Amino acid sequence: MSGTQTATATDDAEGETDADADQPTEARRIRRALTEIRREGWKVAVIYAVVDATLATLVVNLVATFLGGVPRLPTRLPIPPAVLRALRETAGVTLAEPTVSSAAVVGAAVGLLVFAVEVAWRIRRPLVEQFEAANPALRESLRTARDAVRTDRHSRMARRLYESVLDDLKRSSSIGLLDLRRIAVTLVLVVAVSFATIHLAVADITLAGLGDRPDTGVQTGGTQSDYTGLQDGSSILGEPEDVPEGSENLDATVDTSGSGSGQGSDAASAAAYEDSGFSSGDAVESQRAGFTERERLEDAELIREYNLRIRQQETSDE
Amino acid sequence: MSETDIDTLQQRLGRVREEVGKRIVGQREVLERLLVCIIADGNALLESNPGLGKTTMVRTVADVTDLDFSRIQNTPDLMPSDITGTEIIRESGGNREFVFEKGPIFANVVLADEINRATPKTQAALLEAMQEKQVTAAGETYALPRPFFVLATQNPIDQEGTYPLPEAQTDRFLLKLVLDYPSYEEERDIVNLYTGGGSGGAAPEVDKVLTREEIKEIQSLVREVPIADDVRDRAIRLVRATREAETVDFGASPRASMGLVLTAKARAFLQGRNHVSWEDVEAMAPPILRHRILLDFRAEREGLTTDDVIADLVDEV
Repeated sequence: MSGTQTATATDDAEGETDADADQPTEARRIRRALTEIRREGWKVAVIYAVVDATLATLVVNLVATFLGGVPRLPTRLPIPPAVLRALRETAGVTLAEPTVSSAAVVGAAVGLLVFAVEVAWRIRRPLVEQFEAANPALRESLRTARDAVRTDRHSRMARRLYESVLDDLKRSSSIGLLDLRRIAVTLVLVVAVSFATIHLAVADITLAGLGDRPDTGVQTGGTQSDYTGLQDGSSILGEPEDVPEGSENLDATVDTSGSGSGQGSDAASAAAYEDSGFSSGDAVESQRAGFTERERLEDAELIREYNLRIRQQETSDE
Repeated sequence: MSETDIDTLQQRLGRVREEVGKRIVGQREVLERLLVCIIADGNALLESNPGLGKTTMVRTVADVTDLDFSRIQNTPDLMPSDITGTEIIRESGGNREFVFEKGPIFANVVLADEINRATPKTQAALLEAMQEKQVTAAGETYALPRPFFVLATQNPIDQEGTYPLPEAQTDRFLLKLVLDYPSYEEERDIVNLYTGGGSGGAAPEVDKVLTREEIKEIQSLVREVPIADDVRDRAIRLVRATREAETVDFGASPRASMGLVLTAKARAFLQGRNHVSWEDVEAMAPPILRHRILLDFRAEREGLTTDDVIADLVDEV
């Protein structure tokens, strides 16, 4: 931010216009210094705007992420094909997922708005006057020199004033235009909000219920879910009602012989199994209950036959 | 003129103040404004009680600046020709011819003491000469020497038998200076300076540090001092405000606007600056405006002075 010093020290021949050529050297140098001061003012305005816009972008992104998304917008927005194509052609970048977070998009939009508004707000006051305010020691002399140059005053005292102002400008700086404390505080906030954003993304913390619950798919139109299945069980089952008690009593008998899982003792069951062998009748149904595939049932039958024959052979050997 | 020469001239003006300070104790502000008036090529009206050293001050300024000095004591029987000069018949070699005998106004520095004691006719002759910088007698016009500076004094306490200057006449004075009594310490120093044994009661010696040519050069440079547009516009608004203020019955003329800007430039030059600051305008506003405005009767009833009103207007613009 020492552009003013640079301006006053630049060679006179550089950037000279026809109108300047008719003026004394000092007046031309004053004009050039004023141009440099205005450039410094623009730089300062842009610095403030960039820092504040960055903070605004991050804050909006953080809040939107915390709320679970931007109201009335899907979580992710498709990147326009033209942008994807431009990225691919210019930078050779091909995105695996051609979408971008809606929170980031809204944050960037707010940041751009903040940037534009702040730049416009900061340059609304003449930049040289801002410089004069930041350097009160040369405020009156610089303003007088500015007016004198504008009205083409080239008297002896005017030239003397120009020399004096140029000397003063060499010792001045446009750093006074920047409120360094404010810039530092804003940068600290930017870092803090950045960390908070990262933490929020890693921990996946959202404030459910405050924002509309977003769906996970990319939608190009409409805001309602396309699911048309069961949503209300009561509409199908009907209203609950009391069931009337029956008046007829029936006796039921269940044959448990041969069944592995019946009410008899384990010894009786095993004897029945050994005596009757495998049968494909109803009594075996309970045996089959433990199997679901036909192949495995057949395997079980074969194993049983092998077992029985081995046992009979052992008995006969004895 | 090179910049070194301008520096030299500004340094010599500082030397003038130092030399005058050898004879005049205190009164720094009045001395500064007196020098401003001289380098702005104007004339001053000095209001003070008798015995405050105004003659000594003006004479000392003349002494240190290599300027001719004359003093006119105004009285009711003073005639205009007593000031401007008159034609007399002179015999030489048997021939008689009318010869213009220059009056006391033909000097670089003229002290017109108690100007309000002269008749309006004499006052008008003096002020016309002061304004035109020339004297016309018997069809002949005689230019007054340059630089030319009139310091007219008024006694504010003894008004009997006086002819107060009309507003149109006072407007011709660039500044009105008010000389107040010195402080106790200053008065003690004055007593010691002029009653001590060292100088034998005579005024201390002073050196001539500025020639009349250099003064004319300074007067030219003063008009070249740049002034910012906003400072100039504010000075004009200040003068115009005197015409609109409720407490002022009769405001200052555009001549006051010119005088205010010019004396602000002179003060800036005197202080070694190359530009006019608002501080210069503020400092010169009272002596420029105080004799050009007439207060409303309500302001006078409330005990306001012209300086009070001017200070309020300076704060407002």
